[in-house]
Amino acid sequence: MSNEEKKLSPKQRSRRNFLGQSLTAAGAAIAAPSLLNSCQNKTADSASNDLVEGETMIRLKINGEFQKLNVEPRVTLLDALREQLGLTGSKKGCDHGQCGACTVIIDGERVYSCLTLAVMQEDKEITTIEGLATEDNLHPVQMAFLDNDGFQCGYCTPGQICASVALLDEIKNGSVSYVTPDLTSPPELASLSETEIKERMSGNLCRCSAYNGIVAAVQQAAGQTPPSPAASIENQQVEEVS
Amino acid sequence: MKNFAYVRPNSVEDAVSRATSDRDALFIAGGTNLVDRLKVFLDEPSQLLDVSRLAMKQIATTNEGGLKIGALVTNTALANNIDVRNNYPLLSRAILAGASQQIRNMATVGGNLMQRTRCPYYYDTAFPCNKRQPDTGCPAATGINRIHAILGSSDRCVAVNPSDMSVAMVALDATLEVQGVEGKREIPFVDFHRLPGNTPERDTNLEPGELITAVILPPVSFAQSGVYLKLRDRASYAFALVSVATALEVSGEQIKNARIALGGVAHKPWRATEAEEFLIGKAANKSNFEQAAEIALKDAQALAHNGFKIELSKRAIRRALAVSAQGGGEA
Amino acid sequence: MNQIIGTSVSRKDGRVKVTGEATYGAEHQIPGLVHGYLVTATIANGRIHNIDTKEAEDNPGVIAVFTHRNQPKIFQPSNGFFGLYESRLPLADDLIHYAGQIVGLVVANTLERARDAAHLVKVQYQTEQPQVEAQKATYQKAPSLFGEDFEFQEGTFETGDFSIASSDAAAKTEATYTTEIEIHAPMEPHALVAHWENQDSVTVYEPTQWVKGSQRTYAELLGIPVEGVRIISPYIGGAFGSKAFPWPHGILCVAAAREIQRPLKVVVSRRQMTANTGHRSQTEQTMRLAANKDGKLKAIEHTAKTCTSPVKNFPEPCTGITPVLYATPNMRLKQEIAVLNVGAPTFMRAPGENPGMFALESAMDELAWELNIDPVELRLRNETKEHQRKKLPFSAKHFAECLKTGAEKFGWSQRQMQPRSQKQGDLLVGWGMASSAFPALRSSAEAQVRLLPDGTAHVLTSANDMGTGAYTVVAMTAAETLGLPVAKVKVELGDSVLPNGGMAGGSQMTATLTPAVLAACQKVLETANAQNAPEAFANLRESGRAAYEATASSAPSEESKKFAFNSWGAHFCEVTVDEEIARLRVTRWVSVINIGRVLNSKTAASQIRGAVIMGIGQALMEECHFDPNTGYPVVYDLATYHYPAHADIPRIEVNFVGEPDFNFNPMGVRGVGEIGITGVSAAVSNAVYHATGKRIRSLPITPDKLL
Repeated sequence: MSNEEKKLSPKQRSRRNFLGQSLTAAGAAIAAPSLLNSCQNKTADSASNDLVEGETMIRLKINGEFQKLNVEPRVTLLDALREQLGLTGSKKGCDHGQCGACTVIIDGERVYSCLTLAVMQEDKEITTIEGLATEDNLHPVQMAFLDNDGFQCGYCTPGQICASVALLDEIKNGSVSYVTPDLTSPPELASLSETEIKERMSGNLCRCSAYNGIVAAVQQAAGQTPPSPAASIENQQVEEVS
Repeated sequence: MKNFAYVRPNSVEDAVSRATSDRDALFIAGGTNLVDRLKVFLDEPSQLLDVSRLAMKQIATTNEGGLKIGALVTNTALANNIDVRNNYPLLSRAILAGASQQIRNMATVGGNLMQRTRCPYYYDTAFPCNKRQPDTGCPAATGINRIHAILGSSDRCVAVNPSDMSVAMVALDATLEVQGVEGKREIPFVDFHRLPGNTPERDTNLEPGELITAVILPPVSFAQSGVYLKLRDRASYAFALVSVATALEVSGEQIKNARIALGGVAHKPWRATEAEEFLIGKAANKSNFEQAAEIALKDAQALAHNGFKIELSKRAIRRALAVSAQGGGEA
Repeated sequence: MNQIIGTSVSRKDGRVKVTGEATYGAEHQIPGLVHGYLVTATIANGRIHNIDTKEAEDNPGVIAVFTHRNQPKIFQPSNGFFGLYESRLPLADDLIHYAGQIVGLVVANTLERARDAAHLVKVQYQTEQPQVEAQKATYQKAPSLFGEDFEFQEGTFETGDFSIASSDAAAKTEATYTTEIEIHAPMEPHALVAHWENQDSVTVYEPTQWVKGSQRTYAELLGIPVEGVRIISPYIGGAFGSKAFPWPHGILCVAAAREIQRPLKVVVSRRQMTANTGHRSQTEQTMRLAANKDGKLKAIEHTAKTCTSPVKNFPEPCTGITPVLYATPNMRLKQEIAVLNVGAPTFMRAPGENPGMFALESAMDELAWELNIDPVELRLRNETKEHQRKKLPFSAKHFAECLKTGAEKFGWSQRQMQPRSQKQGDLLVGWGMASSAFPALRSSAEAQVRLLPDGTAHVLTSANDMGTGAYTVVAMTAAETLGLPVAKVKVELGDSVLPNGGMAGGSQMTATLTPAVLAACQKVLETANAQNAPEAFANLRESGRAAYEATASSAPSEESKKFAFNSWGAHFCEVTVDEEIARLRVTRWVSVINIGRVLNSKTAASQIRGAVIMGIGQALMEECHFDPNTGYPVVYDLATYHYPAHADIPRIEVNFVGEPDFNFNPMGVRGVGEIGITGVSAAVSNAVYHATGKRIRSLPITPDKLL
C-alpha cells in the first residue's frame, strides 16, 4: 500500500483498488465514481483554532485514536461521527433511539449514538463499526454475519454487529433479560437460547428482516452451531447454462 | 434543536444552584428522553447541566434492610444488581421490559422517573397540546386515542406516563430523595407523579431547580412474589398498552399483603390501593383476583379508541396476581 | 464447468457492509457540502396564507430558504409525471394537499443550523377540512392499473354469469376484509447529495431502484441533457418500492443545489418520510365465493376499495392476482378508489397481490371450514393451468408441489380439524396456511464484461442491489459461465454511466439482468476465442492486450409471449394465543416457493424470510393513522409505527421446489423479492382462527382484536 493510500479510509481504499485496476486495464471508457469523491475525509483533527460562536473544542477517543473537533453542544455523537469525522459506518436510521442503526460501544457498553451529545463523551472509549476489524481480519462477529447472511441492505448492519459484540460481553458478565426465566441464574454463552438472543437484540430493527441470520450469527459467535442459512432446494434439475 | 450552553456542574449543590438561578436550564444524565425531545423542539433550554459524572451511582443497603439507589445508577446496573434480582425481582423485570439494552445502558434511574409522555399529539409541535403549552387544547381527546389514559385523566390531558420502572417503584412503596437549594427532602413515590387536572404541564411534584438524588426502597418481605407483566403491540422494544406489577403475601390460604400497580393507563404510575385492600384477608383464588381487577378498574373511562385497555388491564391484573400467588416469576 | 448456480454463496457486498465501509446516498463526502432541511405542512388541506422566512434567514449559518415564492428552476415533465411518485412539482404553488407536504427548504452550513432554521419558518395557513378517513370517503371507478396489466382496465374483469352460478352452490361465503395504511420504512431514510460540477452537469448520490430512470427524469426536470446527470447508487439501505422514482425532496434538492452553487445534502427526517415518501393504501375488500360440495369453485367475486392522494392517482391493484390462482367459470372483479388528503401511495412489496391475497386466501380458508374440506386440499382441487384473464398457459408451474411439500414439512396432517382443539399448556395453538403467488416480470437489460490480465473478470451494469443479493447473483452467473471462482469476479453496480441494468422493481431484476450477464460472458469468451476464462486469460497474456471486453443485452423473446409467467408458493404457520391476556405469537413457519431456478440458495432464502417477516408485520402490528380532525399523522416514526423486532419472529424455514423456467429466460429464473409476502397475513389470520375460533378480518391483529 502506498503512503497516499494509507491516509485514505478503508472505504476509499477498497473502491479505489477495484476501479483503479479496471481503469488501468481497460482504459478510461468509464470514469470511476470514486474519483469523483476522492476528496479527503475530514478524518483526524477536524478541529481548527478558530472556534465559531457557540462551538466548543472537544477531544474524543474513537477506535483507540484521539480526535479533536469543534462542535456545538447540540451536536449528537452520531452526527459528529458521520458529518464531521467521516465515520459513516454508524448509521442514522431514525435519529430518535427507535431503530438501533447508530449503535456504538462506549466504555464496553452498547449505546445509541443518536441519543447522546458528542460533548458528553469526552474521556470515554468509543468503538464504532470501523474499529472492529483489523487490517487483515474481520471480527468474529462480522465473520458470523457474513456466514449466516445476517443482513440484506446492510444499513442496520453496523448497529446489529456492535450490539452483538456487546451482547456477548453482557452474557460473559452474567446479565439478565426480560425473558430470563430465573433472574438469579443468568444464561451462559453455551446455553444462550434463541429467545434470549432475540429479546436482547430487539433494540436493533431490520426492515429487510434478516433476523434469522442475525440470531444465527450471534449463535455462531457464542460458539454454538446455528442452522444453515441456505434454503433447501428440492427436485431442482440444475442444468448447465447453455 | 436550538443550541444551548453545556455545563458540567462539579457537585449536586452546584447543579441545583445553577438550575435554580436559571429556570431555562435542564439537567441531562443519560439523555435518552431529553435529546430525543430537543430534536423535535419540545424543550428549548438555555443550558444543559450535565450531571452524569456526579457521584450518585451507588446502590447501598439501608439500615432498615432496603436499598438506597443513586439517581445516576443506570437502568442496566439496577436491573442486574444482585440484591435487586434477589429481593425485588419485579423491579428488575420492569426495567428489563422497558426500551432496549442500549437505552437501558444509557438511561438512569433519575431520568427514567422524569421521562415524559409519548402521546403523539404532545410529541409533535404541529398539534396544540395543553401539556406542551397550557390552554391550547387536547386534540388527543377527540382524535386517535388508542394508547391514551383510562384512569385519572382530565378534560385537559389524556396522556399516559410511559415508564415501566415507575410502576415497580410505586408498587414497592419507594421514596424519592431530592435536593434543592434549601437542602434535601423526601417524597413518597406515590406522590411524586401527578394527575393532569388543570395543570397537565406539570408531570411531577418536583420544584424548579430540584434534582433527584436517590430512590429508597423499603424492605418488602414478600417482594419475591413480584410479577411484572407488560402487554404491547410488539413483543419487545415497545411501550406498554397496559402493564401490571403485583406482589402477594399469602399465608396459608389467606392473603396478608397485596400490591397492585398499573402502567400505561394513567398520567402517573397507578397504584390500585382499593383493590389491594379488598384482597387482604381473602383467599388467593381466581374469583377474588377477578373482583380485585374489577375494583381496580371501576372508575376507568374509555375514550373513542382505548376502551379495550379497561378489559386488558383487568385480565392482566388477574394473570399477574395468579402468578404472584404461585410465588412470582415470568408472566 | 464448475457448478455455482444454486449453491449457497455469501454476499459479494458483504465485507463492505459488515465493516461499515459501504457508502450510502447521504454518506458521500463532498468538499464544501451544505445541508438542506425540509419544512413540511402541518395542515392537510388548504393553502399557504403567508410564509415568513425572515427569522430563519437571519439564523447563523443559513445560506438560503426556498419556498413556493422562490421555487428553484424546475421544468415540467413531458411524460405526464409517469416517472414521478407525485404528480406535482415541489413548491409548485401555495396549495396544500396533505400533511407533511414540502412547503420549504432551508439550506445552512451545518445540519443543526438547517434544522433549527427550518423550525423558524413561520407558515400561516388557510385551512379547509381534510378528508383522511377511508370509511367516509367517496369512491369511484379506479383508473387503469400499472405494469404489464395496462390492458386490465380499472381492475375490472368479468366472465361467466355470477348470479346463476352462485344461486345453486353447495357453499357460499361472503365477507369483507380490511387492511390499514402501511409504510415501507426502509432503515436508510430518503436522502441524497446533489453536486453540480457546472451548469450542465450534476452528480446525484441517491438511493434509487432505477438508476437510468432517475437519470432521465432528473435531466428532464432540470432541463439538461441526459448525459448531464450522473446517478451514483452503489448501496441502497432498503426500499421495498419507495425508492424507484424521484420524490419531491430529491427534485428540490437537486434544483436548489444548482441555485446555490454548492453541493447540497438533504436527508428526510424519519418523521417527515412517514408522510411524504409513500405508503400502501388501506384496503377494503369484499370476497364472495361459491363452490360445489366437492370444493370446486363456481364463482369468485372480488371487489376492492383503495385510497389515493390528490397528488397521485395510484390504485392498490388488489384484484389482479385473483384470476391467477383458482379456476372458476364465473368471476367478477371490481376496483374502486377514493381521494384522501394523504401523500402519494405507491408500490410497496407486492402492491395489490399482498392485500388482494389477504382477502382471497382468508376467504378460501373460510370456505374450507364451511365445506369441511382441508384447506390444502381445497386449493389443490381448484388449481388453474391457465391465466384466466390472459387465456395463456402457465410456464413451469409447480404450485401443487408447493402445497404438498409444505404440508409434509410442516406436519399438516397432524392438524386437528376443529378450532380451539390444539393446546400447549394454557396456550391455544393454531395452524394456518395460505397460498402465495406473484407474477414473474422481465424487461431488457445490458451488461458489460471485462477479462483482465490479473485473472479477474469485471461485470459492469447500472443495475442495483438494495439488499436483494444482485451483486452476488451477477457474480455467480458470470463465474459459472466463465469457469471462474466467484471470488475472481468483481461487480460494479449502481452508476448511470454503466450499461442499462434495468430496474429493481416488480421482482424483475434477477430475471432481467442475469440473462444479459450470461450473454455478455458468452460474448466475451467468443471475443477471446476461448471456452472459458482461464483460456481467455492465457490468450490475453499472449496477445498483450489490456483486456477483453464485451457488452450484450437480453430481452424477452417472442416465444415467451405464448405463456403466462408466475411464481408460486405456500406458507404454513403456527401461532400460540394466550387468550386471557390477548398475547399472540407466531411460533413456527414453513414456506415452500417455486421461482424457477434458484441462483443463490442463501440470499434467495433471505429474500423469502424478509418478505414473510414483513407480512407478519402486516398481520400483527403495522398501521398508520391520521388525526381525523386535522389530517396530520399520529403514527409518524419507528416508535409509533411498529414493525417486527427480533422477538416477534420465529425461525422461517424456506424450501424451493420446481424446475428452471427456460421459457421465461435463458437463466430459467423468476423473481424472488415479493412473492414471499403474498399470503402471509392470511396464513396468520387463518391460524388465529384455528387457535381461537375467532375470524379476524381486519388487519393488523393487535391485542385489542383478540379480546
